[in-house]
Amino acid sequence: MKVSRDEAATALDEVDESRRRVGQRLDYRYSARLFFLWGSAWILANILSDIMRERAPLIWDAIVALASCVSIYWAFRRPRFVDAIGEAAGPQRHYGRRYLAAAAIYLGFLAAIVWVTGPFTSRQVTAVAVLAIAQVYLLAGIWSGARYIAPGATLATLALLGYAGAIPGFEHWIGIAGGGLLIVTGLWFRRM
Amino acid sequence: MNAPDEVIHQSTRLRIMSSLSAMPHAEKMEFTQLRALLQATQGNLGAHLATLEEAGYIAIEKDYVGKKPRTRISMTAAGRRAFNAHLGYLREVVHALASPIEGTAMPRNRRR
Repeated sequence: MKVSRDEAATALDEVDESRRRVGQRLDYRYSARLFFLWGSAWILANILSDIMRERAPLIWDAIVALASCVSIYWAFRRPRFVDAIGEAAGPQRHYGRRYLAAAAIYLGFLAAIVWVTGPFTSRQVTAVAVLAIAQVYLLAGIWSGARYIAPGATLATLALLGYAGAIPGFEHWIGIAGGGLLIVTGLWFRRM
Repeated sequence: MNAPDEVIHQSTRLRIMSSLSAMPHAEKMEFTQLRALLQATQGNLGAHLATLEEAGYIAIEKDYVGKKPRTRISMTAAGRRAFNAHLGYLREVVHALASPIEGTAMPRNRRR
């Protein structure tokens, strides 16, 4: 059997494309449990802070810190996609450290925004927090996979409609709706 | 120069092996996922999998999840070696014929 240069080049392109598709599916699958985690955390924090209103900030801080630790642990433990010779592919190397650095930059930026432009009302804090989460998913949709756009766009729409007063009781329903949306997204991604 | 692997070189089988090679070590891919990835029919994919299994390049495991049958596929060590050797051959063909002496450039559609 003789393979021409064009045939070889086409075959190598097929290899790249197949591997890219698998990488994207694996990415969705690994993200599914992050959606479950954060969706559950969001709902739990809402319920507990409604029950114990005086301790609401402490409850939120504790749950967000715990979920962040679990997310970072998972990111470090995440299996690396391997290239054809069995080595971690370049862009996926040091995934855990990148995740940690990106989360630190993003949270730092949000804290700075609150410090510079605050104080906010509780309604504003809720809207900004939900929009910040939506932004992460929209950016992931552009860089990692188009399916992230669905939860990002839905959350952003809900936050803006709720803040504008189109749907009454914004601060109460957004926690359950947002958390529920993340859990449903996790179920969807797990089927990849 | 390595020799081409005729079992792997066929387009669908090359894509099967490429997909399996991208899985993290020790992870298997379900038949339904592979079928969706390759957009192949059940019969066509099944025939190519049988060829690869016969060559000892993949392992097919069938079990049940509850009452639902499940087929999972993984690449064997021999399969990974053969796939790597075939990739090496393809790269050699592309690079050998793209040498400056012959004045030929890489094909336009190559991204690497």
